[in-house]
Amino acid sequence: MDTVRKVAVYPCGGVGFVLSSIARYAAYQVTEDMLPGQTEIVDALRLISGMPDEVALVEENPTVIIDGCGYQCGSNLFRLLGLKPAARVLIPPIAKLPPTFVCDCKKQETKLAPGMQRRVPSESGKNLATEIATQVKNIALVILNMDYPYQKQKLSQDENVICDYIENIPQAVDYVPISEGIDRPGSMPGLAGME
Amino acid sequence: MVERVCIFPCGGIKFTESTVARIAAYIVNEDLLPRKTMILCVPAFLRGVEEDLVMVEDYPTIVIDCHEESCGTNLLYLAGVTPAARVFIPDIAAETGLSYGNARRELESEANDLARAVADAAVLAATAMLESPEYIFPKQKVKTQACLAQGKIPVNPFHYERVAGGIYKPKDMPDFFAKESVS
Repeated sequence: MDTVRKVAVYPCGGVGFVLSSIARYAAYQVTEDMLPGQTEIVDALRLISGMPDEVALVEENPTVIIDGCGYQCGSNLFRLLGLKPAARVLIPPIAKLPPTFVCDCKKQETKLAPGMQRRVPSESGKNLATEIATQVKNIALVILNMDYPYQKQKLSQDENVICDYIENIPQAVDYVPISEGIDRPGSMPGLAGME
Repeated sequence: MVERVCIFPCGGIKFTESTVARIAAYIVNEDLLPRKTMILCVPAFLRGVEEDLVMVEDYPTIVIDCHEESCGTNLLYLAGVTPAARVFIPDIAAETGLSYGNARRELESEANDLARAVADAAVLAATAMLESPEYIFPKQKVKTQACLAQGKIPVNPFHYERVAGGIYKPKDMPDFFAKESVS
């Protein structure tokens, strides 16, 4: 096992719901502002097309998935590709919690509602994105700095059933809860200090 | 003539070009052709969300490819769905001289103008499908067995033919422009 030098961040890749815009915005915040060089965004469409650099990104580095909504499409794509994320952040439960990225004196006035704007999130949507980005950053820092034992994975290119609705994604991916809105597959290493 | 058209922005996130594709799709869907267009969400499609399956099976799809990698086209090929048309952003960028800029998160002004030009091209094709009495869309069926991420997709799998600036049509799909209406 090699030392982890980079964490892949995969926002669900949706485009229809506002929550997918929040996931995408959060991923840009982590990879461009919070941990540039130590994190890289995963492009689902390049991955599905089999672009070698995108495939290598998810095989060689642990991935944190940001699922925007209850469909959990990001987790589903990893399931289809036979990959396991290091962790998954699900936005709706976190949207109901107080923000952690501001001081206590600001918590009451900081709204985390996703809002209605898909193109660029509203102010409260950006707050929610920042909260999600902060959670992802915290997970990435544990992976990068706490001797996380990542075993490289091999993506499955076998024929698979696509476009088939799976009722229970957490069960299909074998997620175990770490905290509200944050899970990891039971077979993946624990996140030291977070669980 | 069809009741609605599916707009499929490539779905990428890595390149600024993919943000242009996505914003163009929102401009079409929210501003220019509301209620006559739907946006395809690829992860939901692969997840089996019914509305996203119906979108591509029962209605013509206009794919917006942002880059030579043609990931939007590739995804449709893997799923056995032929688009009704393709809008190719590099062509429109070259024709208009507008740049993508460097901001993926929130497009710069000129890139927003490019997104608007891309949206206009999509609207041109969509309006022809929506209004032409001669246009008949052949319903399709998604192929539910596929090998993802293999990278073995032929170049130009749908044998696109250019029908107008930045707009292409697969060789085997019906014409949507009257022959004399475009340059």
